[in-house]
Amino acid sequence: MLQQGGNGAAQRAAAACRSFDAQLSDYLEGADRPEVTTHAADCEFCGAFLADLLLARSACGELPEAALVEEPPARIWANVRATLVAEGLIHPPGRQRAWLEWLLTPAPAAALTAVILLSLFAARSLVHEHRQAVKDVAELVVGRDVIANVSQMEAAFRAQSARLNPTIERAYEEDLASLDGEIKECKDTLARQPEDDLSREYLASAYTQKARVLESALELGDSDAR
Amino acid sequence: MPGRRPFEHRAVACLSAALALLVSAGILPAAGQGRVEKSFRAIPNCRIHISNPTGGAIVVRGWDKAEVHAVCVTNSPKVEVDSEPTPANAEAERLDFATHVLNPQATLQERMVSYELDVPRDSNLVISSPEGSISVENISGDDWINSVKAAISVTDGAGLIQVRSLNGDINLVRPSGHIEATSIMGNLTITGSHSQKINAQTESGKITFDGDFLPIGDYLLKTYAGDINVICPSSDSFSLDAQSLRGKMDNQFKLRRKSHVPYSRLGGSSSFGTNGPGEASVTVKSYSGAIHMRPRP
Repeated sequence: MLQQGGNGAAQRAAAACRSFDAQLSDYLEGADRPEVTTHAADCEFCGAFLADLLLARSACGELPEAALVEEPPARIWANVRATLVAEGLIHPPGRQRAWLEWLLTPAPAAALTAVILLSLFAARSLVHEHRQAVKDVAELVVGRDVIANVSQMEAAFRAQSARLNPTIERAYEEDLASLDGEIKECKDTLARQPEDDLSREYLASAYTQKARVLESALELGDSDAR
Repeated sequence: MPGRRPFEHRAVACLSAALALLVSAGILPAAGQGRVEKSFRAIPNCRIHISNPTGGAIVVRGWDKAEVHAVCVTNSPKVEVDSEPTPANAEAERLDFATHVLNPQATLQERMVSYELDVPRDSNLVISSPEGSISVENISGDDWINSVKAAISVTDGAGLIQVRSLNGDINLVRPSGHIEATSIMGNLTITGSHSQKINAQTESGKITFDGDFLPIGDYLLKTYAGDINVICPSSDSFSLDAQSLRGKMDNQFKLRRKSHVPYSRLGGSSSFGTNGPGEASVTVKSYSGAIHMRPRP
């Protein structure tokens, strides 16, 4: 079954994350942006990201200034250059030294920090997008209602599984774990290759089987309770 | 025992052995067990329901008499078997056998009940038991069997066979009716098949098919992670669509390729073509299991 439904909650969450992203630089530069901390408290992912950034900034701030400007002893560069030239890995004059010298002056050091922060930022966005894509593809293939129903059935099963004979309960748990693994594998594949028909078919089938397993468990739990 | 003569010793020993044999053969109940034996006259195509929620061994055999003969053994007095024919005072159109727990304090072992039934061959069966074992033989009516972890065996089934055991293995021997067999963790084995329609699916179990693909038959064998082994005569006429996304494909049939291969069959390992005129439709699919297809020597 293919459903082209949107997800209002997911879209709202994504909008809040985008707003967080837009205001983050100002916040880190000291501007008053209460939305950033509010969203960081609500969104686990953005909260963790903000914590990483603050930690990285703090670590940079703790570096002694001398460490950024002081040049290593000349004999160290001479030895390194001589070795690299001897091995044919570089050719004189020593451009690497110039590069390192440039890098260890205060302005490039700040630029390097910015690059690291931007890389973290980009990586975070990619992971976030991937997570959203995995969620969306499952909803497209199976349908949001089906996913919600299966979740409700699973919650009901968890609530009453203690009524079951322990060996039977264990069997159901094994089945559900197997199907969850199948669902995860298909979702991950589809996030990378959305056109993969076989993964779509197996994803839909896994949800159907999971619903049947839960239905069976709930029926048996009811009959045991009687 | 002091003072007892050798003859008496031998007699006691023989008697004990005979009793043990009778108990183990199910003719006499063991201590605490109860045994119920009943017979019912039945109309042709009568429906027989067995609901055994506490588990145990169930054996149903088809015979030529228009009669149902049932032997039920309860593991303790804390459980009982109800048997109810409908209508009550005539040949039964429907028979219900159900296990009831009388004492909620009964242990899992004490709750178990075994059933052994001889029924008319054309009976239709509905059997539900979460665990233990279920064996059905020589039934030409329809079978609907449902379990969580019981091993299920159906031999010489000629009607519609709908079988599901989530964690147990399913073994179908010489089936000739339509088959719907599903499992999650269990293996599905179909041997000596002469069925025209088979839908066999399991998630992590294996599927083994050894039989004939009949012309105009329709066959689907599908797993998620388990391997699939197919053996049939090289002379069978079938159109094959086999695919495994991540598993190995080992097809020893020399298929005639179709003029085009569907786009969806291009990923993973696939085998797509016809054997002989290609009359039967055979679909074999696995996500990550291997597929082996071999002609019967």
